[in-house]
Amino acid sequence: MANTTITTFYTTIEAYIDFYQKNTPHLFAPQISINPLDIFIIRQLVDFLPVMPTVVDMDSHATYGVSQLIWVPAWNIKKLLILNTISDDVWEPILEQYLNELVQDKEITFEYITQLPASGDRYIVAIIVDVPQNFSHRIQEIFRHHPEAIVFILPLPAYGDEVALSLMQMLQNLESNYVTISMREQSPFFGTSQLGVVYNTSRDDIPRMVTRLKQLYTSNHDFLSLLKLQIDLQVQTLSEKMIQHDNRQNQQKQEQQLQAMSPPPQPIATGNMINRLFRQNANPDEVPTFRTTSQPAIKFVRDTYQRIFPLSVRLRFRNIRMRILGF
Amino acid sequence: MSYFSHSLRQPPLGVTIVIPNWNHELVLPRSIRSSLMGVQLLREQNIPADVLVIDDFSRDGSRPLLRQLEALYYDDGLRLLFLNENIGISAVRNLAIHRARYQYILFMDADNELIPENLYHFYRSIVDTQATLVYGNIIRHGAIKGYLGTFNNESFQNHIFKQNYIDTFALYDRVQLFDTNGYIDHPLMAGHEDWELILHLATSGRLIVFVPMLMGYYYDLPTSRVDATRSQQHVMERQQYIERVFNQIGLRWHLHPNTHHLRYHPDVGYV
Repeated sequence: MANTTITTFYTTIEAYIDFYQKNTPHLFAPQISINPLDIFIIRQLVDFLPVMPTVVDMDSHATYGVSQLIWVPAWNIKKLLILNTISDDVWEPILEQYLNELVQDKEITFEYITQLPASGDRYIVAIIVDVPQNFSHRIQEIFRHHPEAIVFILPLPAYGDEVALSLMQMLQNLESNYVTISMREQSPFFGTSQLGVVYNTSRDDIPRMVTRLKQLYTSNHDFLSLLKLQIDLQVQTLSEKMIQHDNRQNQQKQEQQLQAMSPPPQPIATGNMINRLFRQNANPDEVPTFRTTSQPAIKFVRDTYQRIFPLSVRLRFRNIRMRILGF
Repeated sequence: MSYFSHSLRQPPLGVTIVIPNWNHELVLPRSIRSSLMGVQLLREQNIPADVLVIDDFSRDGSRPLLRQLEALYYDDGLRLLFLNENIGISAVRNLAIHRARYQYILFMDADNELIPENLYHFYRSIVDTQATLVYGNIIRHGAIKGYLGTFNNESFQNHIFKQNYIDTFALYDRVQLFDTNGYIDHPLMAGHEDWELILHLATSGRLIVFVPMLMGYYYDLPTSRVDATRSQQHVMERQQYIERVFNQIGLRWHLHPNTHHLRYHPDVGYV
Protein backbone atom coordinates (compact mmCIF):
# COMPACT_ATOMS: atom_id res chain seq x y z
CA MET A 1 0.00 0.00 0.00
CA ALA A 2 1.29 3.43 -0.92
CA ASN A 3 0.44 4.92 2.44
CA THR A 4 2.17 2.51 4.75
CA THR A 5 5.16 3.58 6.80
CA ILE A 6 7.49 1.97 9.30
CA THR A 7 5.21 3.31 12.00
CA THR A 8 2.19 1.60 10.43
CA PHE A 9 3.70 -1.82 10.99
CA TYR A 10 5.87 -1.31 14.01
CA THR A 11 3.32 0.34 16.33
CA THR A 12 1.76 -3.01 17.23
CA ILE A 13 5.17 -4.47 18.02
CA GLU A 14 6.21 -1.47 20.06
CA ALA A 15 3.02 -1.79 22.08
CA TYR A 16 3.71 -5.52 22.56
CA ILE A 17 7.19 -4.82 23.91
CA ASP A 18 5.73 -2.26 26.34
CA PHE A 19 3.04 -4.75 27.35
CA TYR A 20 5.61 -7.48 27.85
CA GLN A 21 7.76 -5.36 30.11
CA LYS A 22 4.79 -4.26 32.17
CA ASN A 23 3.49 -7.77 32.68
CA THR A 24 6.60 -9.75 33.52
CA PRO A 25 9.59 -9.19 35.71
CA HIS A 26 11.73 -10.49 32.82
CA LEU A 27 13.28 -8.10 30.38
CA PHE A 28 12.19 -8.30 26.79
CA ALA A 29 15.35 -9.99 25.56
CA PRO A 30 14.77 -12.13 22.49
CA GLN A 31 17.62 -14.04 20.93
CA ILE A 32 17.45 -11.80 17.87
CA SER A 33 15.61 -8.50 17.56
CA ILE A 34 14.25 -7.24 14.27
CA ASN A 35 14.92 -3.75 13.04
CA PRO A 36 11.71 -1.67 12.43
CA LEU A 37 12.98 -0.82 8.96
CA ASP A 38 13.31 -4.53 8.10
CA ILE A 39 9.76 -5.16 9.22
CA PHE A 40 8.59 -2.42 6.91
CA ILE A 41 10.58 -3.79 3.98
CA ILE A 42 9.26 -7.32 4.48
CA ARG A 43 5.66 -6.13 4.68
CA GLN A 44 6.02 -3.79 1.76
CA LEU A 45 7.59 -6.41 -0.50
CA VAL A 46 4.87 -8.90 0.39
CA ASP A 47 2.26 -6.24 -0.42
CA PHE A 48 3.83 -5.91 -3.88
CA LEU A 49 3.41 -9.60 -4.72
CA PRO A 50 0.88 -10.27 -7.47
CA VAL A 51 -1.20 -12.60 -5.28
CA MET A 52 -1.63 -13.00 -1.55
CA PRO A 53 1.04 -15.42 -0.32
CA THR A 54 1.16 -17.99 2.42
CA VAL A 55 3.67 -16.86 5.00
CA VAL A 56 5.70 -19.29 7.07
CA ASP A 57 7.22 -17.83 10.20
CA MET A 58 10.13 -20.16 10.89
CA ASP A 59 11.46 -18.53 14.06
CA SER A 60 8.77 -17.01 16.18
CA HIS A 61 10.52 -18.29 19.31
CA ALA A 62 13.81 -16.55 18.45
CA THR A 63 12.10 -13.15 18.36
CA TYR A 64 9.68 -13.67 21.28
CA GLY A 65 6.79 -13.58 18.82
CA VAL A 66 7.77 -10.35 17.05
CA SER A 67 8.13 -12.10 13.69
CA GLN A 68 4.58 -13.32 14.22
CA LEU A 69 3.33 -9.81 14.98
CA ILE A 70 4.78 -8.48 11.74
CA TRP A 71 1.58 -9.77 10.15
CA VAL A 72 -0.83 -7.94 12.42
CA PRO A 73 -2.91 -6.43 10.87
CA ALA A 74 -2.80 -9.11 8.22
CA TRP A 75 -3.50 -7.35 4.96
CA ASN A 76 -2.54 -9.06 1.77
CA ILE A 77 -1.60 -12.48 3.09
CA LYS A 78 -3.55 -15.68 2.67
CA LYS A 79 -2.53 -17.35 5.91
CA LEU A 80 0.23 -17.38 8.46
CA LEU A 81 1.84 -20.63 9.43
CA ILE A 82 4.02 -20.65 12.52
CA LEU A 83 6.61 -23.33 12.76
CA ASN A 84 6.51 -24.27 16.41
CA THR A 85 9.21 -26.62 17.50
CA ILE A 86 9.71 -25.27 21.01
CA SER A 87 6.73 -24.99 23.31
CA ASP A 88 6.05 -23.39 26.67
CA ASP A 89 8.31 -20.44 26.22
CA VAL A 90 7.85 -17.65 28.74
CA TRP A 91 6.74 -15.13 26.11
CA GLU A 92 3.98 -17.23 24.54
CA PRO A 93 1.21 -16.63 27.10
CA ILE A 94 2.11 -12.93 27.16
CA LEU A 95 1.78 -12.68 23.40
CA GLU A 96 -1.52 -14.49 23.53
CA GLN A 97 -2.77 -12.20 26.27
CA TYR A 98 -1.61 -9.15 24.34
CA LEU A 99 -3.38 -10.29 21.17
CA ASN A 100 -6.58 -11.04 23.05
CA GLU A 101 -6.69 -7.92 25.16
CA LEU A 102 -5.15 -5.13 23.14
CA VAL A 103 -5.16 -5.83 19.43
CA GLN A 104 -8.49 -4.93 17.88
CA ASP A 105 -7.87 -5.34 14.17
CA LYS A 106 -6.10 -8.68 14.08
CA GLU A 107 -8.04 -10.18 11.18
CA ILE A 108 -5.74 -13.15 11.28
CA THR A 109 -5.78 -16.70 12.47
CA PHE A 110 -2.49 -18.30 13.22
CA GLU A 111 -1.91 -21.88 12.36
CA TYR A 112 0.81 -23.69 14.24
CA ILE A 113 2.72 -26.35 12.30
CA THR A 114 5.55 -28.64 13.26
CA GLN A 115 7.10 -29.02 9.84
CA LEU A 116 7.06 -27.22 6.52
CA PRO A 117 4.00 -27.80 4.35
CA ALA A 118 4.74 -30.01 1.39
CA SER A 119 2.47 -28.31 -1.14
CA GLY A 120 4.07 -26.62 -4.12
CA ASP A 121 2.61 -23.16 -3.57
CA ARG A 122 4.46 -20.68 -5.78
CA TYR A 123 3.67 -17.76 -3.53
CA ILE A 124 5.13 -18.83 -0.29
CA VAL A 125 7.19 -16.52 1.83
CA ALA A 126 9.42 -17.86 4.57
CA ILE A 127 11.14 -15.83 7.26
CA ILE A 128 14.24 -17.12 8.94
CA VAL A 129 15.52 -15.24 11.95
CA ASP A 130 18.54 -17.13 13.15
CA VAL A 131 22.26 -16.93 13.66
CA PRO A 132 23.88 -16.73 10.20
CA GLN A 133 25.71 -20.06 10.64
CA ASN A 134 22.38 -21.88 10.42
CA PHE A 135 21.14 -20.14 7.29
CA SER A 136 22.62 -22.58 4.77
CA HIS A 137 20.87 -25.79 5.68
CA ARG A 138 17.60 -24.06 6.53
CA ILE A 139 17.42 -22.27 3.19
CA GLN A 140 18.21 -25.54 1.41
CA GLU A 141 15.42 -27.24 3.32
CA ILE A 142 12.89 -24.61 2.24
CA PHE A 143 13.95 -24.69 -1.40
CA ARG A 144 13.77 -28.49 -1.39
CA HIS A 145 10.06 -28.23 -0.62
CA HIS A 146 9.31 -24.97 -2.41
CA PRO A 147 11.82 -24.16 -5.15
CA GLU A 148 10.16 -20.83 -5.94
CA ALA A 149 9.71 -19.56 -2.43
CA ILE A 150 10.89 -16.15 -1.31
CA VAL A 151 13.03 -16.39 1.78
CA PHE A 152 13.75 -13.45 4.04
CA ILE A 153 16.81 -13.98 6.19
CA LEU A 154 17.74 -11.97 9.25
CA PRO A 155 20.25 -10.76 10.35
CA LEU A 156 22.40 -10.78 7.24
CA PRO A 157 26.10 -10.78 8.18
CA ALA A 158 28.37 -7.97 7.12
CA TYR A 159 30.38 -8.34 3.92
CA GLY A 160 33.88 -9.56 4.50
CA ASP A 161 32.53 -11.72 7.27
CA GLU A 162 33.46 -15.40 6.97
CA VAL A 163 29.84 -16.42 7.48
CA ALA A 164 28.71 -14.16 4.67
CA LEU A 165 31.24 -15.72 2.32
CA SER A 166 30.20 -19.26 3.19
CA LEU A 167 26.58 -18.23 2.71
CA MET A 168 27.30 -16.91 -0.77
CA GLN A 169 29.19 -20.09 -1.59
CA MET A 170 26.31 -22.23 -0.43
CA LEU A 171 23.85 -20.29 -2.57
CA GLN A 172 26.05 -20.76 -5.60
CA ASN A 173 26.23 -24.51 -5.00
CA LEU A 174 22.48 -24.93 -4.95
CA GLU A 175 21.07 -26.94 -7.83
CA SER A 176 19.18 -24.07 -9.40
CA ASN A 177 20.27 -20.49 -9.60
CA TYR A 178 19.45 -18.55 -6.48
CA VAL A 179 20.12 -14.91 -5.80
CA THR A 180 20.55 -13.02 -2.54
CA ILE A 181 19.73 -9.35 -2.34
CA SER A 182 21.15 -7.42 0.55
CA MET A 183 18.63 -4.69 1.23
CA ARG A 184 21.19 -2.37 2.85
CA GLU A 185 22.83 -2.02 -0.57
CA GLN A 186 19.66 -1.02 -2.35
CA SER A 187 19.26 2.51 -1.06
CA PRO A 188 21.21 4.94 1.14
CA PHE A 189 18.19 4.96 3.43
CA PHE A 190 18.34 1.20 4.00
CA GLY A 191 21.80 1.45 5.52
CA THR A 192 20.67 -0.02 8.85
CA SER A 193 18.83 -2.93 7.28
CA GLN A 194 20.00 -6.45 8.08
CA LEU A 195 17.59 -8.12 5.71
CA GLY A 196 18.51 -10.47 2.91
CA VAL A 197 16.09 -11.75 0.29
CA VAL A 198 16.85 -15.10 -1.30
CA TYR A 199 14.91 -16.20 -4.37
CA ASN A 200 15.08 -18.27 -7.51
CA THR A 201 16.26 -16.38 -10.60
CA SER A 202 13.24 -17.71 -12.47
CA ARG A 203 11.19 -15.21 -10.48
CA ASP A 204 11.42 -12.01 -12.44
CA ASP A 205 8.92 -10.23 -10.21
CA ILE A 206 11.30 -9.81 -7.27
CA PRO A 207 13.73 -7.31 -8.87
CA ARG A 208 10.75 -5.25 -10.00
CA MET A 209 9.36 -5.25 -6.46
CA VAL A 210 12.70 -4.14 -5.06
CA THR A 211 12.93 -1.34 -7.63
CA ARG A 212 9.44 -0.23 -6.73
CA LEU A 213 10.38 -0.16 -3.06
CA LYS A 214 13.51 1.88 -3.80
CA GLN A 215 11.44 4.38 -5.76
CA LEU A 216 9.39 5.08 -2.64
CA TYR A 217 12.58 6.56 -1.21
CA THR A 218 13.51 8.65 -4.25
CA SER A 219 13.10 12.39 -3.99
CA ASN A 220 14.64 15.53 -5.41
CA HIS A 221 16.58 16.00 -2.21
CA ASP A 222 18.84 13.02 -2.13
CA PHE A 223 20.87 13.56 1.01
CA LEU A 224 24.11 12.31 -0.48
CA SER A 225 23.76 14.66 -3.47
CA LEU A 226 22.91 17.48 -1.10
CA LEU A 227 26.00 16.68 0.93
CA LYS A 228 28.15 16.60 -2.20
CA LEU A 229 26.67 19.92 -3.36
CA GLN A 230 27.32 21.40 0.03
CA ILE A 231 30.94 20.22 0.04
CA ASP A 232 31.50 21.48 -3.53
CA LEU A 233 30.05 24.84 -2.57
CA GLN A 234 32.23 25.05 0.51
CA VAL A 235 35.35 24.10 -1.44
CA GLN A 236 34.52 26.74 -4.04
CA THR A 237 33.88 29.40 -1.40
CA LEU A 238 37.03 28.45 0.46
CA SER A 239 39.21 28.57 -2.66
CA GLU A 240 37.77 32.00 -3.53
CA LYS A 241 38.51 33.16 0.00
CA MET A 242 42.04 31.78 -0.21
CA ILE A 243 42.68 33.62 -3.48
CA GLN A 244 41.35 36.82 -1.94
CA HIS A 245 43.51 36.27 1.11
CA ASP A 246 46.64 35.72 -1.03
CA ASN A 247 45.91 38.86 -3.07
CA ARG A 248 45.45 40.90 0.07
CA GLN A 249 48.70 39.61 1.55
CA ASN A 250 50.62 40.41 -1.65
CA GLN A 251 49.16 43.88 -1.69
CA GLN A 252 50.14 44.44 1.93
CA LYS A 253 53.69 43.24 1.24
CA GLN A 254 54.03 45.64 -1.71
CA GLU A 255 52.75 48.52 0.38
CA GLN A 256 55.21 47.68 3.17
CA GLN A 257 58.12 47.64 0.68
CA LEU A 258 57.10 51.05 -0.73
CA GLN A 259 56.86 52.52 2.74
CA ALA A 260 60.32 51.27 3.67
CA MET A 261 61.88 53.17 0.72
CA SER A 262 60.54 56.65 1.70
CA PRO A 263 61.11 58.43 5.08
CA PRO A 264 58.34 58.16 7.60
CA PRO A 265 55.90 61.06 7.52
CA GLN A 266 56.10 63.67 10.31
CA PRO A 267 53.02 64.36 12.32
CA ILE A 268 51.30 67.58 11.38
CA ALA A 269 49.72 69.42 14.27
CA THR A 270 49.74 73.18 14.00
CA GLY A 271 50.52 75.99 11.60
CA ASN A 272 53.58 76.88 13.68
CA MET A 273 54.91 73.41 13.18
CA ILE A 274 54.51 73.76 9.44
CA ASN A 275 56.41 77.04 9.57
CA ARG A 276 59.11 75.48 11.66
CA LEU A 277 59.45 72.60 9.24
CA PHE A 278 59.56 75.00 6.36
CA ARG A 279 62.29 77.00 8.01
CA GLN A 280 64.25 73.90 8.94
CA ASN A 281 64.23 72.67 5.36
CA ALA A 282 64.73 75.99 3.56
CA ASN A 283 68.05 77.93 3.29
CA PRO A 284 67.66 80.98 5.57
CA ASP A 285 69.78 83.16 3.26
CA GLU A 286 67.57 82.62 0.28
CA VAL A 287 64.16 82.92 1.94
CA PRO A 288 62.95 86.51 2.26
CA THR A 289 61.06 87.13 5.49
CA PHE A 290 59.22 90.13 6.82
CA ARG A 291 62.12 90.67 9.23
CA THR A 292 64.82 90.75 6.56
CA THR A 293 62.91 92.81 3.98
CA SER A 294 61.30 95.45 6.30
CA GLN A 295 63.94 96.35 8.89
CA PRO A 296 63.68 100.16 8.43
CA ALA A 297 59.89 100.16 8.47
CA ILE A 298 59.81 98.04 11.64
CA LYS A 299 62.31 100.43 13.28
CA PHE A 300 60.17 103.48 12.37
CA VAL A 301 56.95 101.91 13.74
CA ARG A 302 58.65 100.89 17.00
CA ASP A 303 60.25 104.30 17.62
CA THR A 304 57.03 106.18 16.89
CA TYR A 305 55.09 103.91 19.30
CA GLN A 306 57.61 104.44 22.06
CA ARG A 307 57.55 108.20 21.56
CA ILE A 308 53.77 108.39 21.80
CA PHE A 309 53.46 105.99 24.75
CA PRO A 310 56.21 106.53 27.36
CA LEU A 311 57.52 103.64 29.42
CA SER A 312 55.16 104.20 32.40
CA VAL A 313 52.12 104.01 30.09
CA ARG A 314 53.44 101.01 28.27
CA LEU A 315 53.95 99.27 31.65
CA ARG A 316 50.32 99.99 32.57
CA PHE A 317 49.24 98.53 29.24
CA ARG A 318 51.27 95.49 30.04
CA ASN A 319 49.64 95.14 33.52
CA ILE A 320 46.12 95.41 32.02
CA ARG A 321 47.01 92.86 29.36
CA MET A 322 48.35 90.48 31.97
CA ARG A 323 45.22 90.90 34.12
CA ILE A 324 42.95 90.16 31.17
CA LEU A 325 44.89 87.23 29.84
CA GLY A 326 45.77 85.87 33.30
CA PHE A 327 49.55 85.83 33.08
CA MET B 1 -15.44 11.26 9.96
CA SER B 2 -14.91 10.28 13.57
CA TYR B 3 -11.57 9.16 14.84
CA PHE B 4 -12.86 8.66 18.37
CA SER B 5 -14.62 5.40 17.62
CA HIS B 6 -13.32 3.64 20.69
CA SER B 7 -12.09 4.84 24.02
CA LEU B 8 -8.58 5.98 24.73
CA ARG B 9 -6.85 3.66 27.14
CA GLN B 10 -4.39 4.89 29.73
CA PRO B 11 -1.46 6.11 27.73
CA PRO B 12 2.01 6.07 29.27
CA LEU B 13 3.49 9.31 30.61
CA GLY B 14 5.64 11.10 28.08
CA VAL B 15 5.39 13.54 25.21
CA THR B 16 4.45 12.99 21.59
CA ILE B 17 5.23 15.96 19.37
CA VAL B 18 2.67 16.04 16.59
CA ILE B 19 3.41 17.75 13.28
CA PRO B 20 0.58 17.69 10.76
CA ASN B 21 1.94 18.28 7.29
CA TRP B 22 0.27 19.36 4.10
CA ASN B 23 2.64 20.38 1.30
CA HIS B 24 5.37 21.87 3.50
CA GLU B 25 8.25 19.86 2.07
CA LEU B 26 10.76 22.67 2.11
CA VAL B 27 10.25 23.76 5.71
CA LEU B 28 9.63 20.33 7.26
CA PRO B 29 13.28 19.54 8.09
CA ARG B 30 13.43 22.61 10.34
CA SER B 31 10.44 21.59 12.45
CA ILE B 32 11.44 17.92 12.55
CA ARG B 33 15.00 18.73 13.50
CA SER B 34 13.97 20.96 16.39
CA SER B 35 11.39 18.47 17.62
CA LEU B 36 13.84 15.55 17.48
CA MET B 37 16.23 17.63 19.56
CA GLY B 38 13.38 18.19 22.01
CA VAL B 39 12.81 14.43 22.14
CA GLN B 40 16.47 13.81 22.78
CA LEU B 41 16.56 16.30 25.65
CA LEU B 42 13.43 14.80 27.21
CA ARG B 43 14.86 11.30 26.93
CA GLU B 44 17.97 12.49 28.72
CA GLN B 45 15.65 13.35 31.62
CA ASN B 46 14.12 9.84 31.44
CA ILE B 47 10.90 11.14 29.95
CA PRO B 48 9.75 9.01 27.01
CA ALA B 49 9.06 11.02 23.89
CA ASP B 50 8.61 10.73 20.16
CA VAL B 51 7.63 12.80 17.13
CA LEU B 52 4.57 11.87 15.09
CA VAL B 53 4.34 13.43 11.63
CA ILE B 54 0.96 12.97 9.98
CA ASP B 55 0.98 13.71 6.31
CA ASP B 56 -2.44 14.88 5.13
CA PHE B 57 -2.13 13.65 1.56
CA SER B 58 0.61 16.04 0.43
CA ARG B 59 1.34 16.34 -3.27
CA ASP B 60 4.57 18.31 -3.18
CA GLY B 61 7.29 15.76 -2.51
CA SER B 62 6.85 15.69 1.24
CA ARG B 63 6.19 11.97 1.23
CA PRO B 64 9.48 10.61 -0.09
CA LEU B 65 11.31 13.10 2.09
CA LEU B 66 9.37 11.92 5.14
CA ARG B 67 10.02 8.27 4.25
CA GLN B 68 13.72 9.01 4.05
CA LEU B 69 13.69 10.80 7.39
CA GLU B 70 11.71 8.00 9.00
CA ALA B 71 14.21 5.39 7.78
CA LEU B 72 17.08 7.45 9.17
CA TYR B 73 15.57 8.66 12.44
CA TYR B 74 13.11 5.98 13.51
CA ASP B 75 15.33 5.01 16.43
CA ASP B 76 15.55 8.66 17.44
CA GLY B 77 11.78 8.71 17.79
CA LEU B 78 10.45 9.84 14.42
CA ARG B 79 7.09 8.24 13.60
CA LEU B 80 5.14 8.73 10.43
CA LEU B 81 1.57 8.28 9.28
CA PHE B 82 0.35 8.80 5.73
CA LEU B 83 -3.32 9.48 5.09
CA ASN B 84 -5.20 8.17 2.07
CA GLU B 85 -7.05 11.43 1.50
CA ASN B 86 -6.89 15.06 2.51
CA ILE B 87 -9.02 15.34 5.63
CA GLY B 88 -8.15 18.81 6.93
CA ILE B 89 -6.23 20.03 9.92
CA SER B 90 -8.92 19.45 12.56
CA ALA B 91 -9.39 15.83 11.58
CA VAL B 92 -5.63 15.31 11.44
CA ARG B 93 -5.20 16.67 14.95
CA ASN B 94 -8.08 14.51 16.20
CA LEU B 95 -6.43 11.51 14.60
CA ALA B 96 -3.21 12.45 16.37
CA ILE B 97 -5.05 12.60 19.68
CA HIS B 98 -6.10 9.03 19.01
CA ARG B 99 -2.89 7.66 17.57
CA ALA B 100 -0.19 9.39 19.62
CA ARG B 101 1.76 7.15 21.93
CA TYR B 102 2.14 9.22 25.09
CA GLN B 103 -0.18 11.14 27.37
CA TYR B 104 0.96 14.63 26.45
CA ILE B 105 1.04 15.97 22.95
CA LEU B 106 2.68 19.07 21.63
CA PHE B 107 0.95 20.34 18.52
CA MET B 108 3.15 22.30 16.18
CA ASP B 109 2.73 23.27 12.56
CA ALA B 110 5.12 22.08 9.88
CA ASP B 111 6.53 25.60 9.57
CA ASN B 112 7.01 26.15 13.32
CA GLU B 113 10.27 25.63 15.12
CA LEU B 114 10.48 24.39 18.69
CA ILE B 115 12.95 25.68 21.26
CA PRO B 116 13.96 22.22 22.47
CA GLU B 117 15.56 23.24 25.76
CA ASN B 118 12.29 24.59 27.15
CA LEU B 119 10.12 21.58 26.37
CA TYR B 120 11.13 19.86 29.61
CA HIS B 121 9.88 22.86 31.61
CA PHE B 122 6.56 22.87 29.79
CA TYR B 123 6.30 19.16 30.54
CA ARG B 124 6.92 19.81 34.22
CA SER B 125 4.30 22.56 34.16
CA ILE B 126 1.56 20.41 32.66
CA VAL B 127 2.30 17.51 35.02
CA ASP B 128 2.32 19.83 38.04
CA THR B 129 -0.83 21.78 37.15
CA GLN B 130 -2.75 18.89 35.55
CA ALA B 131 -3.91 21.43 32.99
CA THR B 132 -5.39 20.51 29.64
CA LEU B 133 -3.08 22.90 27.92
CA VAL B 134 0.04 24.86 28.78
CA TYR B 135 1.43 27.46 26.43
CA GLY B 136 4.32 29.88 26.31
CA ASN B 137 5.61 32.79 24.28
CA ILE B 138 6.09 32.40 20.56
CA ILE B 139 8.47 34.52 18.52
CA ARG B 140 6.98 35.69 15.27
CA HIS B 141 9.42 35.77 12.41
CA GLY B 142 8.66 37.50 9.12
CA ALA B 143 10.05 36.60 5.73
CA ILE B 144 11.44 40.08 5.05
CA LYS B 145 11.84 41.94 8.34
CA GLY B 146 12.90 38.98 10.48
CA TYR B 147 11.88 39.43 14.12
CA LEU B 148 8.34 40.76 14.36
CA GLY B 149 7.69 40.42 18.08
CA THR B 150 6.24 37.81 20.42
CA PHE B 151 2.72 36.61 20.94
CA ASN B 152 1.00 34.07 23.22
CA ASN B 153 2.08 36.55 25.82
CA GLU B 154 -0.70 36.73 28.39
CA SER B 155 -2.79 34.42 30.53
CA PHE B 156 -6.33 33.39 29.73
CA GLN B 157 -8.72 36.30 30.18
CA ASN B 158 -12.22 36.94 28.94
CA HIS B 159 -11.21 39.25 26.11
CA ILE B 160 -10.14 36.09 24.27
CA PHE B 161 -13.84 35.74 23.37
CA LYS B 162 -13.36 38.79 21.14
CA GLN B 163 -10.05 37.86 19.61
CA ASN B 164 -7.71 34.92 19.93
CA TYR B 165 -4.19 35.37 21.25
CA ILE B 166 -3.25 31.77 21.99
CA ASP B 167 -1.75 29.71 19.18
CA THR B 168 -2.08 25.95 18.63
CA PHE B 169 1.64 25.59 19.25
CA ALA B 170 1.31 24.35 22.86
CA LEU B 171 1.47 21.27 25.06
CA TYR B 172 -1.79 19.39 25.66
CA ASP B 173 -3.03 16.59 27.85
CA ARG B 174 -4.20 14.17 25.22
CA VAL B 175 -6.61 12.30 27.50
CA GLN B 176 -8.40 15.49 28.46
CA LEU B 177 -8.57 16.55 24.82
CA PHE B 178 -10.05 13.18 23.96
CA ASP B 179 -12.60 13.45 26.74
CA THR B 180 -13.65 16.90 25.55
CA ASN B 181 -13.98 15.69 21.95
CA GLY B 182 -10.98 17.40 20.44
CA TYR B 183 -11.17 19.80 17.53
CA ILE B 184 -14.27 20.78 15.57
CA ASP B 185 -14.31 20.94 11.79
CA HIS B 186 -16.53 23.92 10.99
CA PRO B 187 -16.13 26.02 7.82
CA LEU B 188 -16.44 29.33 9.72
CA MET B 189 -13.63 28.31 12.04
CA ALA B 190 -11.27 27.23 9.27
CA GLY B 191 -7.85 28.54 10.21
CA HIS B 192 -9.11 29.31 13.73
CA GLU B 193 -9.83 25.81 15.05
CA ASP B 194 -7.36 26.41 17.87
CA TRP B 195 -9.38 29.41 19.07
CA GLU B 196 -12.59 27.40 19.12
CA LEU B 197 -10.87 24.60 21.03
CA ILE B 198 -9.47 26.98 23.64
CA LEU B 199 -12.88 28.57 24.22
CA HIS B 200 -14.45 25.12 24.38
CA LEU B 201 -11.90 23.94 26.96
CA ALA B 202 -12.26 27.08 29.06
CA THR B 203 -16.04 26.97 29.05
CA SER B 204 -15.87 23.26 29.94
CA GLY B 205 -13.98 24.14 33.12
CA ARG B 206 -10.61 22.82 32.00
CA LEU B 207 -7.37 24.55 32.89
CA ILE B 208 -5.37 26.53 30.35
CA VAL B 209 -2.12 27.72 31.89
CA PHE B 210 0.33 30.31 30.66
CA VAL B 211 4.00 29.52 31.33
CA PRO B 212 6.24 32.58 30.90
CA MET B 213 8.84 30.88 28.75
CA LEU B 214 9.62 30.67 25.06
CA MET B 215 7.94 27.80 23.25
CA GLY B 216 9.29 28.37 19.75
CA TYR B 217 9.18 30.31 16.51
CA TYR B 218 6.27 31.04 14.22
CA TYR B 219 7.33 31.85 10.67
CA ASP B 220 5.09 33.98 8.47
CA LEU B 221 4.62 32.31 5.11
CA PRO B 222 3.40 34.24 2.06
CA THR B 223 0.49 31.85 1.48
CA SER B 224 -0.66 31.30 5.03
CA ARG B 225 -3.97 29.54 5.46
CA VAL B 226 -5.02 32.05 8.12
CA ASP B 227 -4.57 35.03 5.77
CA ALA B 228 -7.39 33.71 3.63
CA THR B 229 -9.80 34.08 6.56
CA ARG B 230 -9.14 37.75 7.27
CA SER B 231 -11.79 39.29 5.02
CA GLN B 232 -14.19 41.63 6.81
CA GLN B 233 -17.22 39.47 6.13
CA HIS B 234 -15.51 36.29 7.24
CA VAL B 235 -14.40 37.93 10.48
CA MET B 236 -17.92 39.13 11.21
CA GLU B 237 -19.49 35.77 10.50
CA ARG B 238 -16.89 34.03 12.61
CA GLN B 239 -17.49 36.43 15.48
CA GLN B 240 -21.23 35.82 15.26
CA TYR B 241 -20.61 32.11 15.34
CA ILE B 242 -18.41 32.42 18.44
CA GLU B 243 -21.04 34.58 20.14
CA ARG B 244 -23.75 32.10 19.28
CA VAL B 245 -21.81 29.13 20.63
CA PHE B 246 -20.13 30.57 23.70
CA ASN B 247 -21.97 33.72 24.67
CA GLN B 248 -25.62 33.38 23.72
CA ILE B 249 -27.04 35.51 26.52
CA GLY B 250 -24.12 37.92 26.82
CA LEU B 251 -23.10 36.85 30.31
CA ARG B 252 -19.69 35.55 29.44
CA TRP B 253 -17.96 38.82 30.30
CA HIS B 254 -19.15 38.58 33.88
CA LEU B 255 -18.15 34.97 34.46
CA HIS B 256 -14.62 34.04 35.29
CA PRO B 257 -13.81 30.49 34.22
CA ASN B 258 -11.62 28.19 36.34
CA THR B 259 -8.72 28.99 34.12
CA HIS B 260 -8.96 32.76 34.50
CA HIS B 261 -5.53 34.36 34.73
CA LEU B 262 -3.54 31.21 35.48
CA ARG B 263 0.21 31.68 35.13
CA TYR B 264 2.65 29.05 36.28
CA HIS B 265 6.37 28.64 36.36
CA PRO B 266 7.71 25.18 37.27
CA ASP B 267 10.45 26.63 39.48
CA VAL B 268 8.21 29.13 41.25
CA GLY B 269 4.64 27.82 41.18
CA TYR B 270 1.62 29.95 40.30
CA VAL B 271 2.62 33.55 39.70
